[in-house]
Amino acid sequence: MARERVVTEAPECVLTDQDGRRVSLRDLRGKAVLVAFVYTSCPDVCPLMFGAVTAVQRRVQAEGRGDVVSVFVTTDPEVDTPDVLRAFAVRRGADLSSTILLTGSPAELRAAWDGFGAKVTRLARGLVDHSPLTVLIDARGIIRYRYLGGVLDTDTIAADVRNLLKNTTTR
Amino acid sequence: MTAAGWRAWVLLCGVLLALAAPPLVAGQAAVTIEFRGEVHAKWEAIPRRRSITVPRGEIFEAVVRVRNKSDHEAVVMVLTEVRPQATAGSLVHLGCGPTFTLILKPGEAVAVPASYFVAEGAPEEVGTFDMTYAVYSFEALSPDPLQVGRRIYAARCVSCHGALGRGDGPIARFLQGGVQDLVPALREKGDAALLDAVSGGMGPMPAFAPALAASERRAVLLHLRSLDGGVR
Repeated sequence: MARERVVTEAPECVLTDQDGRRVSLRDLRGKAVLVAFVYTSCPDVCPLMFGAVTAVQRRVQAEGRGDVVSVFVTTDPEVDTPDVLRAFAVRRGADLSSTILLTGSPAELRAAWDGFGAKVTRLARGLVDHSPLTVLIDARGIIRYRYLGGVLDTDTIAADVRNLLKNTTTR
Repeated sequence: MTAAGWRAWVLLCGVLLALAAPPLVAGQAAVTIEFRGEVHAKWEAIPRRRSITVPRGEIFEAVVRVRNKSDHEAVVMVLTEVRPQATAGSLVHLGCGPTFTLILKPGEAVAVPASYFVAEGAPEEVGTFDMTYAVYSFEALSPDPLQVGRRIYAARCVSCHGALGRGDGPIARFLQGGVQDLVPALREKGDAALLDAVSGGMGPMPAFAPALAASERRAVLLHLRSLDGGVR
């Protein structure tokens, strides 16, 4: 995993969640937000990324340090409808009160991928090549870290989330 | 100043700048990646260069040229394998998947680029990685369901289940609890149960019903059965 410290405003994007509701990243201000780019029929690292990000979110949330939300933006709008996203999350036991899976029109998603710097290439139906990108956004909507790689170091990311939450509460 | 004088001045500046550059420190030590391909009567996968030396964390591009040497259109699945295997996760592909699929006409060759970097946390003692491009399958484009199943298996299943279903695919070791050997399950389970697993997913395995047509899922089942010598 490569970890890069950044200070850049998260792009504004409005997408559709697993329940068909329109969700803006701006709605999540006040919380630490982990955003990962994955797709549900991925036969490769996406299930690992989903497991790692939700594990970090659960671990830090359980410590009572503040609110943490996991957001997964699909890289495959052709397959990942809200129903497919919901089934994917439920089957993996995700806590849907703090886990959001997002899809949208190809144009909406392309804007979100480009805004975060995720490269996405469709190879076939349900088969996509994309950057294994995860970012950590602080409570004010500023991206603080970018993590590249499908095998995420959960201890490092959890420490980064704790630091963000500590800085938020002591500010 | 003459042209020769300018050239000497520029060269001198270059040397001084190189001397002033900070030395590599522990954790940023350069790593060498040696590329290997394979040449077969029907295909070849040849890396564009033999090796590259890069600092940890620096993104580099590797290109492999894949050629169909046969006289028929073919589906070619290329798998990248990294050694030493225990540290393969340290060589990160900036994309999703260690395999890629090409459809090539007779005699056609394509250059396939991919970006990688060596994680900064890669073990210091590993100074060299071997990256091998291996053609996992090479088949005439065919509507034969068994071949369709084999092709889908190679694209969507081999990264975890391994070429023979033994649970030894390149990313299996990163999954909690690993990946089980498919062969005992193939002996115990009926077609309906196996199709359910392929369609609806199981554990970290994706549900393929949204991505594959029913006929494609049945083709995968045919291939799975062939892994165990067609027990049922």
